[in-house]
Amino acid sequence: MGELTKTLSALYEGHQGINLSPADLCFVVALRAKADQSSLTAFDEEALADVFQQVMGLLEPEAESLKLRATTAIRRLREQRLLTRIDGAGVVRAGEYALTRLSDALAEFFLQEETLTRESLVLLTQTLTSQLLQVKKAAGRAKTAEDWRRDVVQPLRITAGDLLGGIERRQRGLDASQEKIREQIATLLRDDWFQAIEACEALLEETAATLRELNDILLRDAASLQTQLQDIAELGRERGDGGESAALQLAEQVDRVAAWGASRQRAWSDYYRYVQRFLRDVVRLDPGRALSQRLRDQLRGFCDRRFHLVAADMPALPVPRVPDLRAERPMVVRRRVTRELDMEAVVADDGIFVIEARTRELLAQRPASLATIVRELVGAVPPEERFRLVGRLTALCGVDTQVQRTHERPWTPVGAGIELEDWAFLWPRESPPGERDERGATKTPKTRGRRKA
Amino acid sequence: MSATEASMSVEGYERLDQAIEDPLFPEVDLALRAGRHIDVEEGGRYELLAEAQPLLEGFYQRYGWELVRAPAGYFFLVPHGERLSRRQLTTGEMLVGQALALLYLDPATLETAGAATRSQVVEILQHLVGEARLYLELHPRRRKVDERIAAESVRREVDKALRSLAHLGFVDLVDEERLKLRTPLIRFAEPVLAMDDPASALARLVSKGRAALGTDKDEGTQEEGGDEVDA
Repeated sequence: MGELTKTLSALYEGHQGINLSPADLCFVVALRAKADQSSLTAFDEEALADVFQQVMGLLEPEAESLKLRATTAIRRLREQRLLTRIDGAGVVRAGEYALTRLSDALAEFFLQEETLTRESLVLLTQTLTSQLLQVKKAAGRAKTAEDWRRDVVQPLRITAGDLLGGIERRQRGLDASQEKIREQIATLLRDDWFQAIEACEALLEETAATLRELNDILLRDAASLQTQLQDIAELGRERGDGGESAALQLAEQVDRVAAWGASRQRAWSDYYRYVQRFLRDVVRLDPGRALSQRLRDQLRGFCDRRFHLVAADMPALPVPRVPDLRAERPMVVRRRVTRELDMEAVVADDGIFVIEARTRELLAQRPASLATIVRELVGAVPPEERFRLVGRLTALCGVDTQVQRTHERPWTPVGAGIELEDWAFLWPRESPPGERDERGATKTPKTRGRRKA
Repeated sequence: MSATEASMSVEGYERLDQAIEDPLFPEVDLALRAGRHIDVEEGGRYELLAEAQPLLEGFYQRYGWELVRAPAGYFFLVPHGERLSRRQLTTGEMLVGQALALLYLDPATLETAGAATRSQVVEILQHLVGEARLYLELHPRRRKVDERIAAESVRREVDKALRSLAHLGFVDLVDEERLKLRTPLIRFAEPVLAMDDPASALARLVSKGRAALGTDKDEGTQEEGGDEVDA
C-alpha cells in the first residue's frame, strides 16, 4: 500500500493525465494495426504522417492541411507517452518512433480484446500446472536463499504470475463480451421483437454454456493449482525466512480467478432467468408489440377514465398483552437514604498549641510589650492567618499579664505590614493593678495594616 | 377436509394439512392477506404456492377469497365478501404503477435485468400525463400548481407510491434512486392485455372484484371486512 500511495502521489502531483481526441485514438489504433500487418517495430516520421493521412482521409475526407495536423498529432502522442522516439538523433535528422506499452494496451483494447475460451483456459491452466511442478522440484532442491530466490520466487512471480494474469485479462475480456451480448439482445428485441426470440435464446444459451464450462474447468484446475502452491509454501515455511510469501500471493490470485467463474455464472443465471421470463410473459403474449402502445394510451387517458386495482388489506392482528400471573409484584418500600455525611480523614492541625506554648515561653522572659511577642511570632504563619494570630496572641497575653495604663498607647509596627496599638506589660512588684475595662476585661489593642497581610 | 381436497394430488403436497404445516406457510398466508403479489423471485414462497395451488384455492374459497395465479405466473389474493378488508390503490400508486409497467415492457431494461430509476418513472409520467396535470392528480386538494415546489412535491409523492407498491410486491427498492421491476407489474396492463376494447376488459376486471372504477373520493379507501375467521 505504501508503494501504491507513493505512485498515486507522484501521478497526481506530476499532473499526469491522458487526453485523447477520437481522431488521436483512431491514429493510435491504426498505427498498431499497421505495425502488426507489416511486422514493423518502429515508424519513421514519413510513415507516421502517411498513416495519419489515411486515417483522416477515412474519417474526415474534407480535412485540409493534413501534413501540419499529422505533425501536431505526433507531438501530442509523444507528450502523452503514446509514442517514443528511439533514434536519439535529436533535430539532426528525421526521427524514428515506436509505440509504447500504453498505446499497445489502448489499441489492444479496441482491436482484439481477447476473451477467455475453453481452449485458452485449458492451455493456460495446463502450462501453469507444469510450471508449478517444476518450481516445486526446484523448491525441494534449493539449499541457499539465493537458490530459493532464483529458482522459486522469480518463476512464481514472473512466469506463473503472468500466466494467471493472462487468465484474468481474458476474464475481463469475457465480461466486456457479455455486456455486448446484453446490448445485442436488447437491440434484437427492439428491432425485431417476436422474430428475435430464437436469436435471443441462442445467445443466452451459448453464453450460459460457455460460463458453465469455464467455471467447471476453473473449479477443477484451481484445486490442483492450490495443492501445488500449498506444497511450495510448506517448503518455504520450513526454511523459516518468509520464503512462502510468493506462493501464498499466487494462491490468493488463483482463488480470485476461481471466484470469478462462480460469480459470473451466478450473475448470468439471474439475467438468463429474467430474459426468459420476459420472452415468455411479454414477447410471446404480445407478438404484435401492441401492449406497450396500448398501455401508453391507457396511462395518457388515465385521468379521464380512472380505475383502481383492488388488493387484500388485512391489518396486522392486534395482539393483546398476556398478563404474566406467575410474576410476583415487588413490595412498595421507601428508598433508604443516608443523611449523615461520611467521616473524612484529615491531618491533625496542632499549630495553635505550638504557638500558645511559644507565647508562654516568651512571656516567661518578661518582654516589655505586646509588640515584642507579636513581632517574634507573626512571620511564622501564612499571610492570611496573621490577623487572626495577632488576636489570639493578644487574648493570651491579656489573660496572663497586666498592662500599663496610659492615655494614648503608641502604634508600633510588628513586621509583615502590620501595626498594633501596643501594650506595655507590668510585671510583678513594679506593676500597678491590671488595666481592665469597665466590665473587668483587658481591652483588646487595635491593629491596623494592609489587608493582604 | 373435503372429499375434493382429499382426492387432490399435487407434487410435494398431497393434502391440505401438509401445505399448512410447511414452515413457510404462515408468512406466505400473511403476505397474501396483506395484499402482496408473490412471483418467482420470492423463491420458496412462490414454490409453495405453485405446488399447493389447487389445495390452497379451495382453502381460501371457504373464506370467500380467491387465490389468483396470473398468466405471467404471480399469485395474489382477491377478497370477495366481507371477511377480509380490501383497499383500492390510490391515484398516485396507479399512475406510478403504470409507468413502472411501461418500463418493464421496454426491451431497454433487459440490459440491466429489470433495473430502473425513480427519475425514469417521473420522466414517463411528466411526458404522458403532463407536468401540471400530474401535480394536480398527485395533490387532489390543490387547485393550482405551485411552480416553486412542484418538482420536489411530485418526487415526494412518487416516492410514497413506490414504497406502497414495494410493500405489495410490484417493485423492489434497491436504494434511494434505483428500483428492481417485478413481474406483477403486468397487472397494471390487464385492461389492455387482450386485444378487445379496454373498457370491456376493465368491466370484466371490475365484475371479478379485481379492480374498481374510481373517483377521487374513492381513492385509497379501505373497505373494512366483517368478522375475521382464523385460518
